[in-house]
Amino acid sequence: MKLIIRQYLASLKEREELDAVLPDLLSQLGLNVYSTPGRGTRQDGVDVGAVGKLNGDTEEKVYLFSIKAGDLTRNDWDGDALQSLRPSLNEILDSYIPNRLPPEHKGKKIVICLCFGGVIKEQVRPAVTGFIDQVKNENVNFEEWNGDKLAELIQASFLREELLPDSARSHLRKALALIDEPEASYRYFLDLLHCLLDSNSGKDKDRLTALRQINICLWIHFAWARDAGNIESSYLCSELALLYGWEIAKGYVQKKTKVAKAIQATFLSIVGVYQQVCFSFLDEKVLPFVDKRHVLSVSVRGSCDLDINLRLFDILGRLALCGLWTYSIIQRIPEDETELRETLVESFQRYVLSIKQLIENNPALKLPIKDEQAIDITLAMLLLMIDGNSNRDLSTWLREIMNRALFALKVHGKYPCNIDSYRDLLEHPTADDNYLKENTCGSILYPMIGLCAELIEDTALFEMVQAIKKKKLEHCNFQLWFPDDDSEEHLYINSDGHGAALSEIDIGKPLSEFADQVFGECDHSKAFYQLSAQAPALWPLVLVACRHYRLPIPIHPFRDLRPNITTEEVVDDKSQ
Amino acid sequence: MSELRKILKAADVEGNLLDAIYEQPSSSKELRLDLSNELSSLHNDGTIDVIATFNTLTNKPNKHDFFLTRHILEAALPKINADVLSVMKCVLHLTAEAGQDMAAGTLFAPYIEFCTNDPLRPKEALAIIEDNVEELADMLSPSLVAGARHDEKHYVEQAIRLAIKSDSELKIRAIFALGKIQYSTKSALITDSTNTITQITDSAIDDRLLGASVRAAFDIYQQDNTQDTQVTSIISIALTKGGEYSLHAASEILGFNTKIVSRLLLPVLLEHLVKVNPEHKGTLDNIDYGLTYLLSQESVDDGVTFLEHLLTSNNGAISLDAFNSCKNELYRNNNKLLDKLTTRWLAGGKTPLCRALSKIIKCGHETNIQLKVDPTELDCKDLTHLVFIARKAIGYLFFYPATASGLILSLLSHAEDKKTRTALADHIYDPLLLNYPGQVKECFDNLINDNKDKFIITATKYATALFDGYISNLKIADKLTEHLPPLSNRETYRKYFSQEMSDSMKEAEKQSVFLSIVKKSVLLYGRKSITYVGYPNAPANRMETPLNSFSTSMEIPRLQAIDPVGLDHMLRVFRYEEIRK
Repeated sequence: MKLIIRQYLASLKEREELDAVLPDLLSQLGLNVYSTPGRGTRQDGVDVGAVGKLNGDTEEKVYLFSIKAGDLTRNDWDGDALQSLRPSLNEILDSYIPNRLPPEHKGKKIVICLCFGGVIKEQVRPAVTGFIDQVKNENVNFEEWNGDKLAELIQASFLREELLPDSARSHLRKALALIDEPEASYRYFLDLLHCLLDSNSGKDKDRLTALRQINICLWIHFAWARDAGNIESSYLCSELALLYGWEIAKGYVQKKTKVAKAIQATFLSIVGVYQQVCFSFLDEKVLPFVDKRHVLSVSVRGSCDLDINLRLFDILGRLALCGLWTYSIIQRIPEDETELRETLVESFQRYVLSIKQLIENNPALKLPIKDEQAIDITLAMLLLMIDGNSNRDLSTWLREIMNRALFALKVHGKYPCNIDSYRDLLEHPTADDNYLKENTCGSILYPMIGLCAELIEDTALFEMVQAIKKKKLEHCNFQLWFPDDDSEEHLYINSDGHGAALSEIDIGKPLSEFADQVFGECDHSKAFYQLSAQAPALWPLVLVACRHYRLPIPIHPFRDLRPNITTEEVVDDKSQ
Repeated sequence: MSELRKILKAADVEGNLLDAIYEQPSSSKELRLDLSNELSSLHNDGTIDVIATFNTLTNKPNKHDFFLTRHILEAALPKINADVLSVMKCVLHLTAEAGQDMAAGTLFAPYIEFCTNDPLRPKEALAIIEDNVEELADMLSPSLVAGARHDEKHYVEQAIRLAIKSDSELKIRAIFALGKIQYSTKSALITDSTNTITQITDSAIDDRLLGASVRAAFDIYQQDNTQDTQVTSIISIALTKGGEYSLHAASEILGFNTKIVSRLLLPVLLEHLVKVNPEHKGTLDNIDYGLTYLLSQESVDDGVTFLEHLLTSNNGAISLDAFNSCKNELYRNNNKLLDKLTTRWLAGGKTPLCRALSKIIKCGHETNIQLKVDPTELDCKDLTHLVFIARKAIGYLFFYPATASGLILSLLSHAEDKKTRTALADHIYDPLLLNYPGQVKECFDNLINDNKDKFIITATKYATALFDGYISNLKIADKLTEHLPPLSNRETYRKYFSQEMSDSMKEAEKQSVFLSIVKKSVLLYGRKSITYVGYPNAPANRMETPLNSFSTSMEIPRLQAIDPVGLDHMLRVFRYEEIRK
């Protein structure tokens, strides 16, 4: 286990990785972390500051950490790099201790910790030892927190047998061993999460420990996956960790106790890892290729068109979700943070453009093979509608989907169906009307497109939906899904079925009447607004759950985008 | 007494004469002659009754080979002395037993010989038939033909009498006989016969009667081509009024006598045969033979026009698949005619003709033949029309990408401007080169080697550059391991594909003629088989048979995986789009 953790530590990068794990570790060790890493320049050489007793100390000491990623080389110690360790240590001695040490900790003994994920390289050790011998005194001492020590501490704090049962360790090891087979790795990670959830007694402290374990396990998984050059399984695991993490953390959102704050902080740390995995996946594996014709389609290297279709809609959903997360962050940024806001808006625009390019360059996205892929389409629709400048592109895309669906239904081509099994999808379709009826018995795709037609004011698109219903899908139950009172309990961990389907939606009505009927149901199904994830502006969490567990996206967010609805109405509805 | 005679006699006594006849060696003409001579001799001396024996012969599997056995009677019948009625019944029985087989009617010629051998027999036969029309009507024609060999005038008059006055069953046979009777040179009777057929055709409404008129008229024409005008008139009238029987009779003329059909008659036949029922395979087969002949001639206009009419009438219900010989002739021909038809049909854009073109090209199985446009068929050379042809070529010849590319490249030299040439080259790149880089690039190489046309060279370079750019982007895709399908899906697909292959292998094996005649042995290990082959009175011979592997490869269109629905949709649009007038 220690080797696994060491390898993980060695692969962590300084910014937002090693320094993100350390505060949790120190808290778990019983120290009081009073200073955590912030963006921008370091605080006079200190990345993390904590106070407390370690190793059977009789008196409290102040621990000041200066963090480096990987091994400590000559260059990292005293090279040209801006963030070399020796200048940082000098800053701590010359500036931090005299000027910035919190007054309540003045007079306490100080331990300056040289923290790095790897080891000190032999050629630099004499220099480090010489420096320490030269500057240490009665009040200021030095400690080396290398990868080995950190691994030992992590194991002892988070993963020791009392905290992490053997079975959970085994699941973690298997999840790591099978990183190249994302499906299997994900399955073991899921088992691991179940173990963590089941093993805690329900006490606040145990819950905090479980959350920290989820965080560290996700980190370990991501670090290993990144090393293996395949972060697909980490992507899936990070969504799962996020949702399971929220299941633990959601009860502490309104609380202000020390443990509640620690839980909130740890959950935000999980959100951070999740976002890092997502951005890493998209930035490295998707975005650079969206503008190149067929590249992502070919990258599936699937045995058949079915593999390409399934994967591309999956990518579409992920891309849209990431854009929506970005939008949710923009919503929370204060108006005066202009620079950050601009950066994020730019990033949001990049996602919008990427979705358009992805669709344009990968024509499989112009017709889903499963009706269920409406989930990914809906995420993309939501993002493009929020953008506000993409209605024409959205209209073109959705019309193409409708054209192709009608064509495929007419010629018994690969029309969207309700089949879930991959094996059965391989044989889809057979040229038989009964088969068609059986496998297109219900749809969330077409009513969602109909709804979108209302939002982008595209009557022709709505007429296409009406035509397909009339010509080929008379038998099909057009429906939409709404969360209900049980959803809060089951949504994040998929523990049971929940929600309700608005069934037999009448698409034959005029567009506005249809939209009134469907959006009107939001007045009766208010559970969406009461979901815990709505409260702290983490609403994309609901979308993550829907995408991950393949549940239709609730239409409530779309209602807010309806052109002729006033803000007051929405606020009124939510408050009721 | 010969051995054969003894065997036959003994078999007759034991009641298994047919078995004995069947078991006699009959591999050579001489052996069959001996057997038939022996049979007729035994019959004529009253030892056996050949006719009664053959009356018990049936066409059932697992017994005697019906046709081989019946063939012995065909040889013996002319030499037999027997009662005319029993012979007629026997002939009818054996003809009926033969069913729809092409050889069903081969007993009529020996029957004619049998009647010819005794002048009283046709006379007797005629009388019996007139008394028992229902049962014996089919024997009328051969009896009249046989009688006319003795007394041409009398029997022609009998035929005319029956053709005019008798009921429709005898009328049909009598008219048929008028055609089959061998008239003596310059006989005036032939004119009488023709006039009779004319008279009957003018008033007839029964399709079978009209069909008989068509056959008889043409038979007369074969004996006396001075009757050309009148015969053509008869056939024209009959086909105008007639139905499927008449058309079938006309198809027989076209199919089996194309070479001797007069210039006057041919257009009449072609005009009416266009009306053929798409479900009448026999008639279509006859037309196929005729068409094949017409298309193999130097002047193919009649054949081409007829073929185009056939394919475009009946709402396109007749496909070129109904005319296999013709299709192969056009493919084999592979000369300027195919270029001409290709250009004309694609430029016209009529679906049945374009479909026919793809069926012709399909005759080569995996082989891409080289086609080029025939400028004499290009009425308009503007961008719209040339791109229209290019898109039709893609729509219908997509699975023969080298053929389609070659055809589009040949359009380049007829393009009037650069914009048109670029549009054509764009179509060569996408979808042809994009989907089938191997075959299309090979086509480029072949064309550039044989051709110094600067437009072709420029277009191939242009398309290749676009393709190279596309491919260089795709190379990055190999590094994106995250997007691989899940292992379980890959496994499932592997099993599914393996099952598909195994099923098609079994299906192919079922249809294999070779495998149906050999014993199949499966070797589980090794790369050669060792067997011992035994011979009588000799030691077994050890044989080693090394095994060879057979493989084949084919290029699957790239978009089949990337965008199957889009590809299908695009091809259909290309096939069915029209130029707005």
